[in-house]
Amino acid sequence: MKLDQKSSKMLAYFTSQMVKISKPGMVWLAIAFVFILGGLYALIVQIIEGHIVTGMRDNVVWGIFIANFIFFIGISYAGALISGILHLLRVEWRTPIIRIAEIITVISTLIGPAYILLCMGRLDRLHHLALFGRIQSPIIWDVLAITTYLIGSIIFLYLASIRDLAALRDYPFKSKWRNKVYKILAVDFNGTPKQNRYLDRSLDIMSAIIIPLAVLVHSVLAWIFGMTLRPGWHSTIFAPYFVIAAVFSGTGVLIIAMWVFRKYYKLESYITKIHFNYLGIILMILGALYAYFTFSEYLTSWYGSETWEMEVLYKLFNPNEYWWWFFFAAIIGVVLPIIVILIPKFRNINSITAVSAIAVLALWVKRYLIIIPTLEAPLLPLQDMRPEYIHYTPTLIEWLLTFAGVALFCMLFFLFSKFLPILPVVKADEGNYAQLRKTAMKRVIKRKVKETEKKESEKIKDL
Amino acid sequence: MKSLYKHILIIGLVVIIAAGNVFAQKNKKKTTRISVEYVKDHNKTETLVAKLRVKEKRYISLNDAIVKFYSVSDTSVLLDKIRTNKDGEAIFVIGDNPKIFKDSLGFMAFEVEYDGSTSLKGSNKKIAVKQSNLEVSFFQKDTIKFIEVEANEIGGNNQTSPVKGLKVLFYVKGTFSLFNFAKEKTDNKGKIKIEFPVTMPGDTNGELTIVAKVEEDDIYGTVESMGEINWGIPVPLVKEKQRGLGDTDAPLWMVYTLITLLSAVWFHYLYVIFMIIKIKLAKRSF
Repeated sequence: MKLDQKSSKMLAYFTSQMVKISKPGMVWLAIAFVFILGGLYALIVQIIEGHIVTGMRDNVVWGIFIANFIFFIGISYAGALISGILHLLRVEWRTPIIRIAEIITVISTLIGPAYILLCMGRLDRLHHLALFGRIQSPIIWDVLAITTYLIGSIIFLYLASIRDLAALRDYPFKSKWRNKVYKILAVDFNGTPKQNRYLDRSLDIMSAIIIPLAVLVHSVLAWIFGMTLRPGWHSTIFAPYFVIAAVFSGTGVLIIAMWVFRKYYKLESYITKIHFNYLGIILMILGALYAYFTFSEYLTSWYGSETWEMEVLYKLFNPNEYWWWFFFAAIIGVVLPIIVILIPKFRNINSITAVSAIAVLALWVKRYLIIIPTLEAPLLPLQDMRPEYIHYTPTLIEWLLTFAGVALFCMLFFLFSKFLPILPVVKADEGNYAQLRKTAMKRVIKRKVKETEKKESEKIKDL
Repeated sequence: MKSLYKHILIIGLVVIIAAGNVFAQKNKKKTTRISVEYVKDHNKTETLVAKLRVKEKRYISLNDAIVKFYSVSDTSVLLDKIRTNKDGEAIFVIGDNPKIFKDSLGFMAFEVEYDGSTSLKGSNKKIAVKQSNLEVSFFQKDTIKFIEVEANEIGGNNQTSPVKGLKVLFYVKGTFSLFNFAKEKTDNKGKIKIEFPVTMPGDTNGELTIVAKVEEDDIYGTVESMGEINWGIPVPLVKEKQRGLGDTDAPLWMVYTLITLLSAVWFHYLYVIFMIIKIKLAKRSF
């Protein structure tokens, strides 16, 4: 496939980075590997000993595993919404960030649901979900939605990578497996007008589909809580609240990933301050929306003063229980990013990344606070009054599995960047695409004119 | 110099007055008020209900305070000591208590007393009541339906005699409270006869509970009786709408919505896969 000078230069740079792993990269991989090993150990312990090794009991039946699940599904929004919307709007500055966003989507959608499996007892009956699943259950909606979303995200990422895969196929790698895999995945793409047309059409379709699908996936996830008659969960605004929180955290993770890869691959000339500023502004707007939803949610609960709702609110506002967590999740994690991004003096690449990290951490804590205080305030009186039945505390096993998930996310991301350039190398020529449409239209018109002339000449002959 | 003495004198007076106020406040006890009521409910259970209040800005119920109940004749006999509940009420069940004195006319005299505490003044109240019975019955004459109430008092030798001119209130029992529909006085025979309110809605069988009540009478206290009859208008139960979510089969709208949504998305996936195949096939066309 023919490449322009800029693309060739980028390809040469990335391929040289892809075939080697630098010392910091090795250290990074080793650390992630240690955490993953820790997670594996915890997993084996949990399988052998059962759920007793976790902090989950009869009363608090969900713990940080579910918080992790919501968190990972939430950050998957980065790819779906940001790259989908930016692609559809043909936003010029999107190019350096969409690949990172799409990878975040795929990896986090792969890791997130694994935490559900960790929560479940009797995994030997997992297939019963397919055999006896009732479609009235929001859990089944979630299974269907996440599966559909994952496949859609993989297709979207693949379509957006075909041009680069074709360029990599034509690059003389020494590794045989690389050449073979790139050849298969590039589907004989040569950048012909027809191929470009098919590819662009597919990308447009997928961008349009992935946006409502992402909204639906997180809405379904919110409905699992919202449709349950429990204080702190039974709320009509939970779906949009979850969606906003998801995009907020997804954008935060995207900014962090951009910062990491910018440093690691020295991409300062490609990922510039403008990208951080634009994403920072998106983060700020989302933060404001998220703050609005949070305020609205807690104000209405508090004003209603329903006994059960108040029990959860007292837990959240009690300094001896969850107040400081709540303060961090709902105030620090939201207000700080808004202030730093809003004031130009504070706004730079590092500060935007730092507040994004705080926002992401705050959003994880928020997911924890959605689950635990509610489960600690049951509607039925507690039968077993042992402290661990009343209050949930995550065990070392749960923390090990949590960190393993984060480490796996980072490792897969890193390994992916060794397989495919982290930035799109071959840019779709949208100007030419428009030109192609014009040409195609001219051809159709010419053909119609010819057909009409032919018909008329036949009529004259008949006469 | 004179001015200095004057100032010292004023300051001294202020200090004395202020100190006096402080001590006075320290020793000042709050006023309490106790009331007592004789109640005979429809199960013929007789009780004395003493209500204790303390004066703050206004009178409020005083809970967890001990109230003494006495039977009074020439001497007072302690019947019981009862602690007030959260509503400030101490309830004494009279029953067949042998300590209770009844005079020749059938009057029983009681006294309730609160001793007070270090911060509260004591209070007491006396009451004299005569036992009585109310009986509710129903009958029909031609097409007209009637409620009849008979009131009798119990004398000193336990003989009953009709009560004349006793005010009786008639209620229908609702889900949460009593609904008053009539008020009459007993005749010479101690009876009241009123027309049954046939337009009144009852339960699913038209069942109504009619309550006849003498309220806070000076002699007889509060006496209540009730009777049940199916003369009301039957009101059928509102059938609860069945929710499909609990059934084995999902509601059809849900099935159709899910199939439509999933089909729409998966159709596009398949279309995109078809386009990828077309990309592969279009490699030679320029």
